[in-house]
Amino acid sequence: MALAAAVLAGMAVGCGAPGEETNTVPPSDVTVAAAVSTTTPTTAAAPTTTVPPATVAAAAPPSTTVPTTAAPTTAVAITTTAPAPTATVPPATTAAPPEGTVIVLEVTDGRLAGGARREAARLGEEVTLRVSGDSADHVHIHGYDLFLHLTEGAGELVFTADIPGVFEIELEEAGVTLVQMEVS
Amino acid sequence: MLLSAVPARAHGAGGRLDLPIPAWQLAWAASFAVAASFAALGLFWSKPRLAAAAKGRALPSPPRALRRGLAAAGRVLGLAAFAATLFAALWGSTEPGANISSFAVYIIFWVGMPLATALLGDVWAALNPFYTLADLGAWARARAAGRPMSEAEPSAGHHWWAVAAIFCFAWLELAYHNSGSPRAIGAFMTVYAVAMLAGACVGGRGWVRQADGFGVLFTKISALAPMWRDESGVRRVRFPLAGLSRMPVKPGTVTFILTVLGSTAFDGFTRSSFWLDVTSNRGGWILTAFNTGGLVFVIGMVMFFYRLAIMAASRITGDSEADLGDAFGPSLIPIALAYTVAHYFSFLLFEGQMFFSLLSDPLALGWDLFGTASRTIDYTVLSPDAIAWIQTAAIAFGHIAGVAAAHDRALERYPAPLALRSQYPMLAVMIAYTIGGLLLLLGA
Repeated sequence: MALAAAVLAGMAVGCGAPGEETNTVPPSDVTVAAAVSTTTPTTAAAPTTTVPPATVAAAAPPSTTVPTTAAPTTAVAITTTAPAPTATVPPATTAAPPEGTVIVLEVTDGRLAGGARREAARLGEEVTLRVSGDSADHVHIHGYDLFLHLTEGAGELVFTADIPGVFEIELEEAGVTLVQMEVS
Repeated sequence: MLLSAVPARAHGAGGRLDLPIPAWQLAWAASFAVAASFAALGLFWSKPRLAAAAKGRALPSPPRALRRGLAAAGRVLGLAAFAATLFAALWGSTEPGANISSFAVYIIFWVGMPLATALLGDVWAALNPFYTLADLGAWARARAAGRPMSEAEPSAGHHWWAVAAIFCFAWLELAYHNSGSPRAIGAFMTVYAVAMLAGACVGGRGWVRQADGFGVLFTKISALAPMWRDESGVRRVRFPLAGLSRMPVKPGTVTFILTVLGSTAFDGFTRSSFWLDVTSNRGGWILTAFNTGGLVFVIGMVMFFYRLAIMAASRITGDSEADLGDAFGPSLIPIALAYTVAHYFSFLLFEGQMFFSLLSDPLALGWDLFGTASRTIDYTVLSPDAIAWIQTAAIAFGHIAGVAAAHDRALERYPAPLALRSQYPMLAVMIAYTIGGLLLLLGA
């Protein structure tokens, strides 16, 4: 049971962990993450346990960011049980299921910084659309028909790129095409 | 930061676009087209054949009552479909994806009808609500005056009104920034219907048959069909391309065909990264202005290349440009149809599914008339590879059909050696259109 929780937590933590900026994770996930670290020493030969379990629990007060240092510990639990990691990724990061494509858009005054562009995503992978700026509008991913309502100009949307083709990502009210997303 | 993803129904026009075809496939298709063009000169027939095959064989005629019943049913269906679509466009949901009118007009009608007419003959002529209304008017007028009805399709006249009509529709679909808006579609349908009926009042029912851009287009495309109805209404089967040889060409006909070809090409052009850069961060009427410029430019380019070929052919044969332009115009119809298939086939296949979902709830009132209201688009119907092959094959075979039709027309007009030489410019322009069409599929 602890192991199952470990897998879940590892995924939750791993999503944005290695090499990324620190991610906000809901409080519940943080506590499970602490539980993971306590089980790790028994399940596998931990390579470099830089952070002792107790430290993680202590360093994770409710609703704060999970320190990236926690990642190596959870990684061990994952590699033994979790879905096959990709061979090309170095061991330390295998814990994370592929982060997928992240499309970061800065929309100010109804215009996309740098102008409209193309983005490619692989079929089946997770795509994160992250919008910042000041437009009180919504972003429409055509074909997938997902809408991202921007509050105070910003918003984030995660979806699975499961339809092949080319799709326009549009700032709907302004009628401006931001991105042509190619999923293949 | 608020995370919200509200799934909604498919957007009116342009939800999913095709993936670029692989470059090797493009190279393959382009070389195939070029090789086939030159092979055509040596391997194709050396005496004109299409004109002889154009009449075809008569099919057994169904009983008169059945024929009249079917004709009446077609007229009623056409009027009812037009009225229902117009009603939904004007009074239904303003959300394009929830209103059946955008799917009915841009997909079922604009993409489905050319394919249907190319396969089955001029289906639209049997449904066309403007023909029906104009015929009713003509009948009432003739009855009041005690005269026979005016001619349905006079041989004189021109297609310039049809050019204007089809350009307006292309502008609405491809240039206007809010083309998916049901109200915009409703406004277009209203203005179009008023124009057709006003024209019919002044010019009679013959005017409508020359000015209704859709009617003219589908009649032209039906020349490719293996089935047709002759002047006396008898159904006949014939060799698929043969109808091109007896297509009446009036002033404006060739411009009309080139306008259709150019507008489809522009649609491909708008998907290129070049056009993405040009229209970057532009929306609203500014975007419309850019699109309008692009649409006119691409149509202009398509016309320019045709004109160039005709000028060259005129030098070779000594015939006038106007005469040659009309003579070879019909051989562009297969290429225009090929462009339509290549650019819109997947659109019909995927987005067309929404039409059947929306049939259950056409006004977004929460109905479920046929139990299909909750159906979403199944994108697994055909793989991207299969779509790319269909696109490539359509362009390649459309090219061969065009070359064959031009070859036959040349043999009809000129003795053998001159007939071959007279085709070089047409071959060149068709290769240009074909490679251009393929490059647009590359989308780069």
